[in-house]
Amino acid sequence: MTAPSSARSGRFGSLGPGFWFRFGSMAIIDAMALWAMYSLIDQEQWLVMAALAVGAIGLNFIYFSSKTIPLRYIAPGLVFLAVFIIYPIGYTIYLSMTNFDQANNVNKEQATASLESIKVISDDPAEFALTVYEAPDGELRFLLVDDDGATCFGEPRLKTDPPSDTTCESIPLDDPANPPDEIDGSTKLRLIDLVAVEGELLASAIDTPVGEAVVVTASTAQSGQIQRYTYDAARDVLVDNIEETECVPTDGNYVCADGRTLTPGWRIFIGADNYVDALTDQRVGGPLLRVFTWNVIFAVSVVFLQLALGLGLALTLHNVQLRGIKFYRSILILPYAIPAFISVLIWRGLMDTNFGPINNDLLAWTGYAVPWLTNGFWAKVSVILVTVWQGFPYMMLISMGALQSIPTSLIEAAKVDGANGWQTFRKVTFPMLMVIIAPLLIASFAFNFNNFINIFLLTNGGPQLLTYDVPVGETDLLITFTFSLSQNAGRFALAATFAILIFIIVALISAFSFRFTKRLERLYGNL
Amino acid sequence: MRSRYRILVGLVLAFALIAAACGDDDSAGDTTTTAAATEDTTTTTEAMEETTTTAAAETTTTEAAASDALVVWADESRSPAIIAIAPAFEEATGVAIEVVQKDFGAIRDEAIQLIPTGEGPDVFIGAHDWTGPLSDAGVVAPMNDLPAGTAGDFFDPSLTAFTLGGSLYALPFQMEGIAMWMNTTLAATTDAPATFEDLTTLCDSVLSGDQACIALPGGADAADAYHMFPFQSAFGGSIFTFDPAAGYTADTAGIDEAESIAGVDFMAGLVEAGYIPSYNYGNAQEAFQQGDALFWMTGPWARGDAETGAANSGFEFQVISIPTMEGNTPRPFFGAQGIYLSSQTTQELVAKTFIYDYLATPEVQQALYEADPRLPANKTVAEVVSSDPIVAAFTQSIANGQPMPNIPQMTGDVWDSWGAAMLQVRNGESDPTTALTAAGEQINGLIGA
Repeated sequence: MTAPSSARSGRFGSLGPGFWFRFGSMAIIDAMALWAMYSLIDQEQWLVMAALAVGAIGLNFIYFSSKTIPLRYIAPGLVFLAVFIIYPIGYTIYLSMTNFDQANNVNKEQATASLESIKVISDDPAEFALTVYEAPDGELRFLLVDDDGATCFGEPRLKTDPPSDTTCESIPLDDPANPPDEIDGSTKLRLIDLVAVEGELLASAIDTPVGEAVVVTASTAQSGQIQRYTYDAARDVLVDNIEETECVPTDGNYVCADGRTLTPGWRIFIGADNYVDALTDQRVGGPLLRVFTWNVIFAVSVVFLQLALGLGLALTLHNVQLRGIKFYRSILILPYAIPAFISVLIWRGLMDTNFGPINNDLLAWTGYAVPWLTNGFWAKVSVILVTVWQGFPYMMLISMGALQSIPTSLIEAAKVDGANGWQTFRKVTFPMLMVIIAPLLIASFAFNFNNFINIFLLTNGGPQLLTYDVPVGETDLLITFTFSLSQNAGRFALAATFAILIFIIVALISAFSFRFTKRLERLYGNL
Repeated sequence: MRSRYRILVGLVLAFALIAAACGDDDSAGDTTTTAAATEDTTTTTEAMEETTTTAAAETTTTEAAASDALVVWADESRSPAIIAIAPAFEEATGVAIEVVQKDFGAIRDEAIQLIPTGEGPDVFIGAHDWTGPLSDAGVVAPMNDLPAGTAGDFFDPSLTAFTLGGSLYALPFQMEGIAMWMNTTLAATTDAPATFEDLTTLCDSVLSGDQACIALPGGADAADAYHMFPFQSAFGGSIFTFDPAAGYTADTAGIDEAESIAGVDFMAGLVEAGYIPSYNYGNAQEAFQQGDALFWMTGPWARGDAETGAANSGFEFQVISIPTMEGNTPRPFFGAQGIYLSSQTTQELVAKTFIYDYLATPEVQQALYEADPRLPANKTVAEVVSSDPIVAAFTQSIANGQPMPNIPQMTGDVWDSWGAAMLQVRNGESDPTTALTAAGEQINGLIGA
């Protein structure tokens, strides 16, 4: 670095501890990046490697040029943004444009190899104990011994070579169950040596009097194997050796001339088909409206009730002079402090229809037990109740903070003007509060719109409805519905499509709401 | 692997950058900086450690594929049995066995996700009803070359359970199915009721108050068609067409057929008469453990729970076959668990040697049985443990059974739909005909029939 003239840069140029810290950190980052690039080259991931290289060079520039000091503070955020926001969204969009599902999970090479690995065994296969020998010339020799002790010793050929006349010959052995260490100058290979020639063994076949025999395990060989499918790379077709037909790659699967579609298939890019399906196919489109409606009802009522309860408590704690107010405040925050994974499961136990404490007490008092989680209506009430219970402390906290910031002079002025308590709240306190908490309400709405954890842990979307073409539950939100699409039916690409659609819905609602709060701010913000 | 990479690299970069930015700060010695710097160091070290391991693994893959460890995924109870034979296998073959312990339920999905990336196991444990999804996803290799002699050591139903489209996909090691756990103290007899009439008479004579006659999972808030299948099957019902030789055919859903409905009607009668309360699995277990249920219809996996309950509440129990229903023998579902081979293994010979020559031996089968005693799939082990009355009772019960469907069409959606219909019957919200017809329609839509 050349010494710049300004005092600030001069200090950096003086190679103080700050510089050395930066230098050390960047050295580590560069080392990591170089190593990662090296591995990526190994895996032939050129695009990722290029992106990493550009990123690393950019970072070095940012942290060592004196012209980019503000960027130094933003760069970590940008990296997080790229890795945790942009990349997942981009990848989800990509997935939603593929045919990725349970039966289209691998790539074409893997699917082909998988089909090629299917072997049909004839009704009466011959099985042999296999011992492998190494001849003085380094070639392998197989010794096959069948159940009757008949032997067959010879040199294997490649599976791909045409079968010849019997290439192995019967040799006399004293004890066929324990082959000798040496036959005709060939030495027996131990199991441990076979591992090193695994590829060779698997590619080998030996012709016996009962036909071609191939290696199964390190100590067994078998005849009578027929490979069901063979891939013809030149013509890009899969030949079915049993049915004697050909299967042509069609939309991510081999489809045979006799109409069979073979699985596994592979992933292909199909463009916007999933979006069209999601919006028009009655099988998924049918329940969508119902789920969406309940989703909105759930999110709105949860936010509204949380706010009502939280604000009510905040006003009470703000206005009423109580002893031990800190104690009450701490107690009230507990529901928010307990992780959902624990509290929701406890609620599930409490609401158990048969042995739950709530129902036990209800039964004792009223003689009526509420089917909390088993009845559609009550399940909805339950998830709303539990979510409100969980989130009201948050609303209470922010309301208390916001109440502190409202100047008391305004409230006094309202009193002087003759407003009663409700009027003061309605016309002064509440509008001013909304300026502060409206954006948080929107965030809370977006969160509860996708409140996967509570639904999943409490009802798992149930009780299920049987009235649609796909299983959907009374309490299913869009996000849990999407989850079961991927989880229960393995329709990953369609689930990705729904994830994108939900993202768009939430983004639209949020954008609209933020415009609304801007208006609030204009109205009240400058008071 | 690839995405993990990117996130890892990103994380390290980001943390280091935060530290670097702080390093520029005037207050270079204050607490924030120290905290950030410490964080930076730990993250970097951790990340480097993790990546080093990966790097080492990669190097070995490219240089000497054969000396790679064979990666086996197993659940916590079966891992020790596999770890136990690892030294002998390594000594013989020079290949180490690396057992990765997984939650049993997670193995299926993780195998489907990871095997195509090359990060998955070579060999893994799984249930037979995963066969369809796993083979559809292209992550398992068939084992049709399992030597006939070895296959002969296993009960045919356990092999059929893993057979799909004529290919065998796993080496079985255990089976399981449901029967009835009976509280003999409460019953004041050890005579097993032979028919449901006997059973209800027994319940009428000995039970009082809140005590349950049959604690049967699948009620309350948890759909569970599996446990109620004996009722449905007794009168000839099934989910899809089943043929003992060819397995299942996903033609149409069978649950809305007259035979199925007759069975569920029979069960609904018992529900209505109060013999079967609307319990989920947890309720049923609790009721039996407290000594408040005369019968508990479930599988051999509940043995530990039943024994604990019996010890705590002071009762004796036995296992009996499910009684006949109006002269019809119930056919409970049975399941099998076995060892799958990854289609992407780079060491096919070693993996097959491990499965066929090591895991299939009676000694290892015995160890796998002891790790989580259900019902052995291996004939030799079955003989050894046949003196156990509980094993004998379950074996007898599932002798009449049929395997759970292993076809890919039997998705979670189908189970959900079916379970929902049964749940409505259990909760008295719907009658069998309405519920099963609706579910049948839904399932036919799902399988595209």
